[in-house]
Amino acid sequence: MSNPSIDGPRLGARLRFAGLLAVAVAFYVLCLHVAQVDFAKLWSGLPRLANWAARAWPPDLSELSTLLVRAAETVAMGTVGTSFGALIALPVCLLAARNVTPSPLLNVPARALLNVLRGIDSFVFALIFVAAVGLGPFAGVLGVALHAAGSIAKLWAESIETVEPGPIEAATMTGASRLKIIRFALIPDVLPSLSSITLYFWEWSIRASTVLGVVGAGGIGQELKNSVDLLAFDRVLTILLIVLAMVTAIDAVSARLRRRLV
Amino acid sequence: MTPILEARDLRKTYGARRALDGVSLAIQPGEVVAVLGASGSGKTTLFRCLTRLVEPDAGTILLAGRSLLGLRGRELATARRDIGVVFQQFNLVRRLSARDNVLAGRLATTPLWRVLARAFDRDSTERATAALTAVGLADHLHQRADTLSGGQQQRVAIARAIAQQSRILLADEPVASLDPDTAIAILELMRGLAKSSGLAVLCTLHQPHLAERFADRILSMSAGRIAAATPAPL
Repeated sequence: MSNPSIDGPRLGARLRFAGLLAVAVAFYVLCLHVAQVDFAKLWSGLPRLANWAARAWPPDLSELSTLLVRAAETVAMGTVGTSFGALIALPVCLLAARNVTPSPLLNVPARALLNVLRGIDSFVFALIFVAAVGLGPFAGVLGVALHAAGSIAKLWAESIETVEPGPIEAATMTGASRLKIIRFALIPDVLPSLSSITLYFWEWSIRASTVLGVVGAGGIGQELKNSVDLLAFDRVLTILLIVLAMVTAIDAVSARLRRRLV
Repeated sequence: MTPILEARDLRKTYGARRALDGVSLAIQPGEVVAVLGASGSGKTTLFRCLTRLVEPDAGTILLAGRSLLGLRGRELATARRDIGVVFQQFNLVRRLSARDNVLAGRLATTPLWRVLARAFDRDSTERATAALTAVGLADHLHQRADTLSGGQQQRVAIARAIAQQSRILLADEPVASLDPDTAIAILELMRGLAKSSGLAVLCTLHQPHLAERFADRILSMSAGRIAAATPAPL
């Protein structure tokens, strides 16, 4: 046997780890139960899925022009929603970033607001806005804007917090006001990273917008839901191909733009 | 004659460490004073307290006879216009041109909309160009700050203080990141400004031979106190 004074704490650490592991396993088993995971059901449903997949080919291209207009609606929703989100994000991130906030008293509520906006998905916001402003892409724009505002402002604030304090201190000593200092010493330094974050969320918002139609907020998602409801799987396949092409193209454009920024 | 800047019994502690343990000094217009000390002697804390980038725990700071420590917000900003600063790490806005960095010295007197649009008036632009010419950078007006050499960046910082029309230049280890020849050129530039325009220069240094060559007066710091004040042997 080895020395207990060495073994003692090591044994304690092992026991604690084993305890944590047991808790984690129990939690996971509970989740499996609550989520009603039942592979037998999947097994029995497989023939139906296979049948649908078979009926999806060849894709139905008869309404291609309508579907492309709906896809354009999705891109527009994501783009306008992201831009509105960025406009909301700008003032809030300046309050939320600890190194430029005018007061710690504003810092905490600003962060709380961001967490609320970020915590509620654009899908949920869109659901509410459909009730408020009616069916159509504008509800989607508002939904994307609010969720994007929270996410963009949070990442912007984090990016601003990593900036070197030196240039801001130097600008402070010119006697300039806070807003002038932010414009002159902060914005030029962080502009590439803020733009890169915005592009990333533009991509993200367009992907999120593809499903907003399910709650009636316009775009290709609406066609997707209608087609599934009608069991028109050849049309579903066309829509999925359009979504795939659209998302791939947007990702490529955004990635290329972001590379040029860094 | 009223000193342009005077400090009395400044104290600052970080935890148990006394960074400033009762520092008093005074500097007249046109005078060049070096604060000489090893790293950890408290000279950077002194610089940061005199600019109020750090609040001293106790003491008095008089800028042209007026107390600096009581000021807040807009009043503090207005008082700071009289203080030009030069840092060891230059602290320029890297992605702006040399002239834009010098124009920072005009921020306080430029209307907000002009700053937001980065559309400075003719007078400010001309002053910035003249300031850069005065420090020998007339050929680098539009060069991005992060592509300038260390010595050039420090010249830009000095030009910013000229454009700001500050009455005192506070420099914290302005030549510690520069090679010896460039260091001497920068110190001579600051000394020349003091003697030609009445700018007061207070400069922290850690190399005695530079302080002796450059300053009218040397204050030696150690352990947060001014241990000795000597007129430099010119």
